[in-house]
Amino acid sequence: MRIVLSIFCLGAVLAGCRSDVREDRWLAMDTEFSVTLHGRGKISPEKAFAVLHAEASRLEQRFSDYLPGSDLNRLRGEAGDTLRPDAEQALLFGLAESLSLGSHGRFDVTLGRLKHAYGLGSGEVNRVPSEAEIAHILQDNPVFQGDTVLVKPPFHLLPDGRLAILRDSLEFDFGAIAKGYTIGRLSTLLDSMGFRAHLVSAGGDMFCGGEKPKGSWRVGIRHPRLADSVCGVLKFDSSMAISTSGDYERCFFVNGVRYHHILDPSTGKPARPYCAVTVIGRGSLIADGLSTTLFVVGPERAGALLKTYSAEALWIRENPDASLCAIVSPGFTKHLKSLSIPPCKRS
Amino acid sequence: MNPRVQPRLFRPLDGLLIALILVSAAWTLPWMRTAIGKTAIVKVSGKKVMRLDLKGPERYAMVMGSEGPIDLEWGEKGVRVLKAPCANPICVRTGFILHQGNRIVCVPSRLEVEVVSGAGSIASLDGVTF
Repeated sequence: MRIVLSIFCLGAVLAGCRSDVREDRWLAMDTEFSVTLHGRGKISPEKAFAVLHAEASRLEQRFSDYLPGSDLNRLRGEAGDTLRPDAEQALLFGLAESLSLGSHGRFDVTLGRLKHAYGLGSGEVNRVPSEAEIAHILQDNPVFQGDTVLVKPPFHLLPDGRLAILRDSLEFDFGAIAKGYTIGRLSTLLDSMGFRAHLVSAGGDMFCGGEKPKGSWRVGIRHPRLADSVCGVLKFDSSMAISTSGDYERCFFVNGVRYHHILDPSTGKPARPYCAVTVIGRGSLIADGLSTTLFVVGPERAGALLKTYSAEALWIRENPDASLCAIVSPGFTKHLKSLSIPPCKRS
Repeated sequence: MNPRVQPRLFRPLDGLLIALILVSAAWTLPWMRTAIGKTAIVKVSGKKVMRLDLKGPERYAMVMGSEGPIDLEWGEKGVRVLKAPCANPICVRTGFILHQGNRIVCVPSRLEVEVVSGAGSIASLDGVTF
């Protein structure tokens, strides 16, 4: 009898043993970072978190557009100059140029003036610029000439790693790719510290690293119009980067019209009609950059970009009657376990 | 003749075992209760068509059953069928369901609504992309 009781108690205690999951959250890059570790690594989770904090802080200092002394803000030049970015900066400039070329100018990391015109920078007061003001800003931008979008970005990364500046007074804004790069860096560091199964998230963009000890990674997609609800669930059995760009982040309303931070370089206005785009891919840097790009580009012209970067995407469109509908690339459905938004009707 | 030694019913270690059992039982009690669900799954003809988040204000949707449209309402109070094209709408009379495992079934329309443990709710996810 005593043996039976002992086995019962041992079973009860063992059943109560929870998996080794540790979580940390902190603020950096004007957003919230969170890291979840599954299992043990070569060092304690506390030491690992300290390493991650330091790395996020380093990268914020490097790529922030709102810290006056950031490395990015010091990288200035006039047309005709060539600058010498380091390898880390060159990687981001290379992707920015590639996305700009691939999207025919719809992705642009030099829209700083336009962003400030809307008061969308950190700590700025929101406002709607006049048509004349927008036109003036776009006039200074040689990527656009009338209705024709030239494919040449106002900078070019030379084969020897130097950066050729093709326009005066360029302001670089890596807001669409810096978070993704940082997530990737933190994930790489976690791998090196032995924490193979981890989830790194920054402001809604995330990377599920490795295989979860129990079950699959399950990631919800925020409902674009219901802040506390998810409209879909994604499931992954191995590493995957997920990034969403939505018009509900950094937005304001004037006369019932939503003005948001994803600006269409061809119009100088917030991109429409999509209200959210979720991209899944192998790397968080590319997923981050692509989600912004595809938000502007739309699904009709996204095929080449998705193929180039081996990514998949979901677009949620807001119709004139305020209803929502979804467009999903073929490979996305493989990971989509549920979606409560109906498919868009073919036009 | 030596008097027969009666075995003791309890020994000191038995008390510890009993205490462990009681603690374990108390710990598992919350799991045994039927908890309030956070999500409802809607199926038509066995195929999942919607996942409803059971929190926030009331929301409404229409799903197409095999006999015609079925109106659903869901929110913090749970989920219910508002209107169904059945001669005897038992599913409508069921009213709100909120607890895990509760089900509404409308056989003519081949509709099933089940409240689940929160699978698909934000709390059960590893993260939310936004």
